[in-house]
Amino acid sequence: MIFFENILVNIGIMIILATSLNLIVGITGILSLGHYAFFGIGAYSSILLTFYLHSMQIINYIPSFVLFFLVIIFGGIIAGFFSYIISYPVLKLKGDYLAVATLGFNEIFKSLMENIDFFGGAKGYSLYTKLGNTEPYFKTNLIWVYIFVVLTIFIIVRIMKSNYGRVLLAIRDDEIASESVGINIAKYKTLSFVIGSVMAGFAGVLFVMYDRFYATPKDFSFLEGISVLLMVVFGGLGSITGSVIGAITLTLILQLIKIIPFLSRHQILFYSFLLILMMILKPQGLFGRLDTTQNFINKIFKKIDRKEI
Amino acid sequence: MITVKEIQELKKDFELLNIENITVKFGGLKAVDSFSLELKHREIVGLIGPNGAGKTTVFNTITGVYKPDSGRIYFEGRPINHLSLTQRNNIGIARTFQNIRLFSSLTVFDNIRIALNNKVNYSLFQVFINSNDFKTQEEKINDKTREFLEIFELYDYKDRIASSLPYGKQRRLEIARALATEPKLLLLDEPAAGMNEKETGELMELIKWLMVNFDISIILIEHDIKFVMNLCPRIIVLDYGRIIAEGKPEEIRNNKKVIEAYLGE
Amino acid sequence: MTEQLFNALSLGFTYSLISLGYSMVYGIINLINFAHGEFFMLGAYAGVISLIIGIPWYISFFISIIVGAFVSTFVEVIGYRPLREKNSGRLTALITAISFSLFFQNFIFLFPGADLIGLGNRNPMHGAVITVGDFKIPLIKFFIFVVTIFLLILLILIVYRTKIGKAMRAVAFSKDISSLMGINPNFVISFTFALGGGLAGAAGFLEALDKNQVYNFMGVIPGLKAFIAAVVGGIGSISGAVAGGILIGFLETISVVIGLSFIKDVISFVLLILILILKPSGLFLKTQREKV
Ligand SMILES: Nc1ncnc2c1ncn2[C@@H]1O[C@H](COP(=O)(O)OP(=O)(O)O)[C@@H](O)[C@H]1O
Ligand SMILES: [Mg+2]
Repeated sequence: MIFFENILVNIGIMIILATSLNLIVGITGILSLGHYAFFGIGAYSSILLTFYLHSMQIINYIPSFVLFFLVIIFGGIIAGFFSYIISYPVLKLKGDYLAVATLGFNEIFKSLMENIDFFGGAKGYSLYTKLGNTEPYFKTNLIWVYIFVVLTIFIIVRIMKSNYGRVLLAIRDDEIASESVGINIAKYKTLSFVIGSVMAGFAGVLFVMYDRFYATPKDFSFLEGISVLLMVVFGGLGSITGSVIGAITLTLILQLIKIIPFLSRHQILFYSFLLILMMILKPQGLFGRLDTTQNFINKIFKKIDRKEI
Repeated sequence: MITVKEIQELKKDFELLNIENITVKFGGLKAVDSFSLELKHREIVGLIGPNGAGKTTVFNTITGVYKPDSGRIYFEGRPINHLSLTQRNNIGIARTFQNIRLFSSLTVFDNIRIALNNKVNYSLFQVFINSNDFKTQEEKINDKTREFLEIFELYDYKDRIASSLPYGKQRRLEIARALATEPKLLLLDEPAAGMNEKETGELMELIKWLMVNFDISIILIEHDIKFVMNLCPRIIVLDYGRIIAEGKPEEIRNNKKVIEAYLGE
Repeated sequence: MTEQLFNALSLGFTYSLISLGYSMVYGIINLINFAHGEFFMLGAYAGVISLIIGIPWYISFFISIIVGAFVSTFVEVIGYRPLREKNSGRLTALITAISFSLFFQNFIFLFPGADLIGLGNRNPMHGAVITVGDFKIPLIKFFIFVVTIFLLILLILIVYRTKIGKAMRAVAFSKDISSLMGINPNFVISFTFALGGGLAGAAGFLEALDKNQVYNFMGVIPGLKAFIAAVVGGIGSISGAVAGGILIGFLETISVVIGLSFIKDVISFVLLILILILKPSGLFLKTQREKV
């Protein structure tokens, strides 16, 4: 049972990461390679806040689900805050340069975590140890994960249904043409980047507060983040359905790989081989632009609308 | 008493566009050299000249893609040198591009809706809760889009992906998209390029119709001399970045410098 | 002091050799070839293995260059060319590059014990020192210095004095125009990859002798830094790549000397972000405007 719950939690977190990265990369066309930094910022902020809450004794007065909700939101806000600061210099860049700058940012984040004792240095920050080898008062479970999965997908789908979404796609297609029809591209790119990063922050909290209760810099390196990029590309850039299916499929494949000793030893080799094959054979991904998630959610809305009339 | 200087300033206020001596350099090359232009409300001017003369660069400078190395640009009497591309569209300058730049992966309908992006003022939160305000604004945008597509006879293509349209239709869509931003000044960069004779004729009628029905001024770059002469009472000829002639079509037709510039091509 | 100077220079030269490949490839097809650091690593492995089985060092060095060039060309032909022909966009190419990089790094794990190979006494320059006046400089640092200068001269001769070099510059200027002139762009692009890969392979061999070992992730950090060097110097420019490499070599050596070794790996990223924001065309190139 635990085994399945683990997998489901993993899948859920990957769905949040993949769909939010898709918002940034696939929908807005910002080639960010630094998504995992915000995932990490969410994780670190949440365990620090949790430790603080425990030491304040506040946990005795407030129900755990309220506190945990606050912690998740806090992780998202901190990630969003840093993404907003980063966006100012980084979003001025284009294409490959932006890719390298975001990668650089991710490495800087990792290096800072490694070198600042407050965050536990290279060996990481263990909440579990800090709390005297006990689990915290609240933690991630399946319900929390899937509430945020639904929230993430819902938000992105609604964005795509509005002027905001149309403008993001326009920016992806042609920045100069977008400016020539009066779109403030800096504003919309920042919006997309920050929203995506907040979601990555949520994912970071959910990830670290499930059964680990510690965060190490290595968990959030750019290399770890490649798997999420793979999910997005596998599903098809710009397709939300694709990202969801990409996240599910690849997380399952990864689990399967773990059962087979040879493949489990050579996970990344296998991964990268798949990715090369994929890029050469079907670079537009599984779903291209076809989007069923979007249609589905919009249909539900239409039904609700009709009832109102 | 009124001084000459004051009269000049007044002129700026009453004119739509006033370009004073702009020069644009690329490395050593002066693509545009001391170019000046005054454009009145509801006026249409033709800008012609051989390939590489600097016509597109003039458009890029008016719209803010490039900043001029020297010279000033006024729009409705206001200096706009410091404004960005986006800001210049917001105050009423719209354009088409010589090598069509549509939102190529999006539908014809969305291409127009995107141009109407500044007409909405709902918040993201209203989008999430699907508020009535959001819905009515979206309805309005859709209606307006339909209207534009009908004017430009593109309604039947509304669900097609922009890049899949035939060339002539793409040009039309690009003009429609520019107009949807409700500009006062429209810059058309070779709108008839790649069109067949029938489409060119239709485009000419459309531009005439626009001049009557929309309150706009147009600067038109076009290689098809007949097309320009037919539409523009005033024509400016550019060669090596400099204005070599300016005047009525018949004056231009007989101008020696112009003939030389074109023969030299 | 002199020793530190040589440290900085040899480090900078190593970056420069890798950086040139990034720069040339970007100049010609506008792709950040993330796999480039792996050509350095594989070149180093090839050289070390041949040294270990007893091949003389000058032949081993040559083998490093050949392997670097070969793998580089292989990646271009198998990976990038089909994507270019399908016109599948930048992100796809970038992801392919990253995938190749991961593939090569992890490929080494298929051979047990290969992820770290020490050279031991097979290293022809191990421990050797040359004395110049009062100074003692490790022979390998001096060797890096001499070899890099030799290779740079060779490269400049190829790019500016040969037919294929002229073709490279033509293709970098415009693929369409050069195919009109009868140049086969694909051949020229492959040649550029070979040249860049060869230089990376050479750098790998030098690094292996310097550190007396090879490991499978050895290309990652130098690869990223060499890329930064290329950007800092102005991507597409040979002298820029060299200058950028040397600059980063010095910055890192200085940060170690003044006791801030923990910023060593970060400083180049900070430099990168600063350069990209302040002068995206690089320190040594003129700013260009995008044609609209
Ligand atoms: N971004 C640019 N960088 C360098 N040169 C440019 C750029 N844009 C235009 N040019 C050069 O400026 C000159 C004028 O070009 P352009 O304005 O496009 O001419 P036209 O539209 O009249 O054919 C040409 O020589 C062209 O090559
Ligand atoms: Mg032109």
